[in-house]
Amino acid sequence: MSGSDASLIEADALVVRYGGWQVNEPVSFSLHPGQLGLLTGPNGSGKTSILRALLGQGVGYEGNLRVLDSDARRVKPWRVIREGLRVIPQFPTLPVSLIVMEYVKVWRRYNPGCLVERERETDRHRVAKGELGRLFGIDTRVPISVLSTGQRRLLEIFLAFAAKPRVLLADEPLAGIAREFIPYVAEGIRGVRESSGAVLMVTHGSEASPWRGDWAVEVMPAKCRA
Amino acid sequence: MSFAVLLFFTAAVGILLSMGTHVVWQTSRRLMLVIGAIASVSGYAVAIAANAGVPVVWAVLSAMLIGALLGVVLCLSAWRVAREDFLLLALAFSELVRRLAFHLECLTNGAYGLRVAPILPGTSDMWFTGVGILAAAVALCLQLWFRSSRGLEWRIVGCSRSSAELLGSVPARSELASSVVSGAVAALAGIAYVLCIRYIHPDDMGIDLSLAALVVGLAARPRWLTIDLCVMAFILFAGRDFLRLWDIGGTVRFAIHEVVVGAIIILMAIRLARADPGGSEP
Repeated sequence: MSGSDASLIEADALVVRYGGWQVNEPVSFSLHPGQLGLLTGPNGSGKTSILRALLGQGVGYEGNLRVLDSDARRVKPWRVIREGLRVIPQFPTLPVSLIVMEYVKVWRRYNPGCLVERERETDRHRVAKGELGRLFGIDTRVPISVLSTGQRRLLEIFLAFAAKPRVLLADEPLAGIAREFIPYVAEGIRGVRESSGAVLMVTHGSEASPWRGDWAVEVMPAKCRA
Repeated sequence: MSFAVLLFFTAAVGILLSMGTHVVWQTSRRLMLVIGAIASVSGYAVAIAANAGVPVVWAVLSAMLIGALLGVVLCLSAWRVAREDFLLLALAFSELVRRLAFHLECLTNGAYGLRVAPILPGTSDMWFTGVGILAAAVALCLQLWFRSSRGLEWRIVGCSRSSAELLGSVPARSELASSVVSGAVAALAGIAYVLCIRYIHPDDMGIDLSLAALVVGLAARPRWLTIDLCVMAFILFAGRDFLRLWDIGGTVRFAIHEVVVGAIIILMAIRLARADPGGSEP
């Protein structure tokens, strides 16, 4: 396999475990640049746990799991993020005590150069402010706590796309957002794929209609939990 | 030296100590009840160095370094224990510092307190310099806290660790850095106190001072931090000194002082307990 086609994420006989509790039946998949991979399955089958394992958030598992050429057991969240992995979490994790622009200011520190190239604008604050307001009606001067859950999700989605990720982990990205923004999400995912990135999406299946995955793996709950 | 300057000075010391507790609380949700002990150690360090004839710049710098190192040590120990246990650790450390100050008579002059030789000529000038330096330190801290992306990042860590991690931030590093700043700030308060008062006693920066700083630091709202810190520090710290120096007879004065300060701390603690610590949903 050539360097550019090398898998960004690779799972082989992956079983998530919480203590001695087996969560899912073994799954195997491989995500290459330009691909959209779908993890489907019923609630509680361990889809989100697989994403957390990829992020190095302390989820135990058996089998083989590699992300960006590293064993997922050894990765730290901040390290994979700095290597180009981005996440759209299922529930917003934004710090509610900050105002939107303060958060964007810190975000810019970890994503230098982003949010600038879209428009020839020297004041990057104004770029983010303008786009967030124009796209989603988000006033960047208000505290994040004032935003609705949907707006927080949109903010996270916007920043995830703006970071031009190598790998995007999207956990049910359409949940909780208005129908009118579905094309924006679909367009963003297409943009990631076209720029040689890859997207691993957790979905229940029905909401995946705006796009078609290159592959889909159904994660099933473990038949024998112990 | 005017009485007003003394009150301003006390309030400035209180603001710095409160800010030290506030920074750690906002970053790691730890109750920095050792802030007085750190100030005390740094105060003694600068006093001993000054009496030994060490140049004032070196004395101040080394005392601040000691404060920052104590912040690091306490932060590292905090990683090993739960938040509640960290309180016990803080209490134990404060008591250890106080006892050492009482019993290491060769260094601290024990219960008599340590007088500090004048470092700069002109006592009144020193007071104004002290207030000026403290005000500059407060302004710098506010700048770091509100304007710099570093300070904002610390607040993100305190509010949501997972959010900080998803940004690419290392929460442990932020917690360590905030502890260093907190320790250095506390040290600066202790140093300014010693250089201006020119005297330090083991009970000067005890657990009551830490408690007052902690209550102010926690009760201050991040969005109104400057105003909250100034108002509350004046009420608690300057008010405390005002009552202490008010000439209405020893026992009565002492009783009023203790009751008023205690009541204010209790009221603020109640307000704090009712508030949402994370500043999450409105």
